[in-house]
Amino acid sequence: MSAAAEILSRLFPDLDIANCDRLIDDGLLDSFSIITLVTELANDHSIKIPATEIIPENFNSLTAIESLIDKLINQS
Amino acid sequence: MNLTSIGFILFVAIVLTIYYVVGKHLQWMVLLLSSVGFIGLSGPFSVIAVSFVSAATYGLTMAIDRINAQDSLSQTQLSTVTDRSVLSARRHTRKNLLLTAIVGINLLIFIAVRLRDPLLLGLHLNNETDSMLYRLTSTLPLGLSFYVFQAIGYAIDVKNKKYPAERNFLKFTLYLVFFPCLTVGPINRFEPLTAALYQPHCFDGLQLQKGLLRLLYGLFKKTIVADRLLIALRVMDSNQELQTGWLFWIYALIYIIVLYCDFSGGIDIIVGVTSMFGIKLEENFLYPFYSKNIAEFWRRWHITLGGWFRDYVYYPLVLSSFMLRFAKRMKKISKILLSSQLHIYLSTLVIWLLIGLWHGISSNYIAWGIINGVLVIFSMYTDSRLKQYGWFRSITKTKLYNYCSIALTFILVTITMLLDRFGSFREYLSALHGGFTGQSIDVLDALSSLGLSLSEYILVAFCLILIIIIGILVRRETLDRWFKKCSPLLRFLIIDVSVMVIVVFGVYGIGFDAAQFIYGQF
Repeated sequence: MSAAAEILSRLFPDLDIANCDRLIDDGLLDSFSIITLVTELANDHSIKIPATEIIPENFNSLTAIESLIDKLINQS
Repeated sequence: MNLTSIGFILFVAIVLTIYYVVGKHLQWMVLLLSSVGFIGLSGPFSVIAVSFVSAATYGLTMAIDRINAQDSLSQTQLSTVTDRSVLSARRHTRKNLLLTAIVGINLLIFIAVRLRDPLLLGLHLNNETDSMLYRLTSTLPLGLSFYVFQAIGYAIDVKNKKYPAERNFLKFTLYLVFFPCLTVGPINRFEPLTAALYQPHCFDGLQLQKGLLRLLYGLFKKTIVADRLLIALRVMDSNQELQTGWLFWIYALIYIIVLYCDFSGGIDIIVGVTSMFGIKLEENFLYPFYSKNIAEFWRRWHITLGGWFRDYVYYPLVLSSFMLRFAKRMKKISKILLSSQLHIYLSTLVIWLLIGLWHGISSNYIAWGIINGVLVIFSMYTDSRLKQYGWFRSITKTKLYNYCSIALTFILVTITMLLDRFGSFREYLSALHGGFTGQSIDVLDALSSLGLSLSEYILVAFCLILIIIIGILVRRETLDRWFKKCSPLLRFLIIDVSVMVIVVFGVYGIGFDAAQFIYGQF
């Protein structure tokens, strides 16, 4: 399980994170949840997501979040 | 120029005619010239302020763009990683300096205008007869609160390479000064607005009629409801006795209705006008009074201002190295949820304080920001805590819970918004205290002395019901589908009747001081 999947399933135990592709559009993830997720990724997994990447397209599904993380790791 | 005046309607009609008559490649020039003319009508200070903001932001952003271009070039030309990283760090510093200059210049102008009176007093330039500066600045620059923030957002985006800088100075200026958005906003983003602004547009009769109808709906809210209730509100403002006991709550209710119909009516007029030019603006309201908590309310009210502060201040602040280190330290100290999320709450409070200061630099707006910040934090905290329990999640799905949440949010919003009406936080608290403890005079007697007749109260109530019904129909897109299906003659009749209703029932009488938009003062 990826770091993002692990954090999201802990924050939202009832949510079928892996199969949801409208996390933002359906209001399941709000700015508060996104910041909680991004903070945990930065502090516990050393994955720093810059503020400029906090856009709906990057957080609408677990796949999108993991692609963003891969992109940032490759860039650094 | 007041958006509800005949002068404004004529101005729009003339610009529209020229816009669709001239060659399509000249349409953006028509919008620019009319926008400059519109600003010119509000006085020389407005022209000076916008010229300075536009020139400074354009020049400095172009410099940032040149550094971005050099950065991309060196990525391919320089061979060693060390060379690239050293150069990149230098360029990053230069870009940060340029961005700081842009933000500094814009904020300095914004704050100086807000603090005009104490500043002139400090410089002993407050004597009207011998101070040219006093006379020049007597009319506040039109739209400053909106285009200053548009300029800052644009510069940050260019620095972050979200899009390249606009090379044409005149086109960039049009983005800042597009005339419909200068009175009550919204705060537009560069990419979506300019994509429509710079494009040629063909005349579309249906689009024009829909725009006109939206404009008329805005005039309906503003002239029939907001301006009529404003008469009562002004009478209540001038008499402390009319703000005590039950009357305080009536005063608060009247104000929230006036504020909503005034602000959303203004936005309806603007969205209607721009869509007649073939330009779609971002909506600034999304049925805010259906919100179930304060955080949701602020995602639905003045959306463009909240979105601006979220993207350009909140995210960079809460994800800054300092805040992330703080979060890490707090998590080590304590495992409870409140401490691990303290950096989010602190950042939220800072943002709300800044939004309060955007509205005005005074104690009541600082209090307004803090109160809203605390309420937003409380709703975020309780939401995240309580939703961990299954019994609470099942309660939130019931209709009763939803209705109660909507009612409670409405009450909280009504109480906090009232801070606008008082000169200081102390005055507000005293009035609030009077609302809980004071003895009011007979409510019916008081209502009859507010300058409105019984038939006018009935008219306002009827209009409010109509606004709610229209809101539901628009939300379901029923109205839009129905209007498209109507025959041209029926559409013409609908527009005609709407004009008649506004002319007959709007508040215009001789001697009436047509109210400026409340959000115009911000």
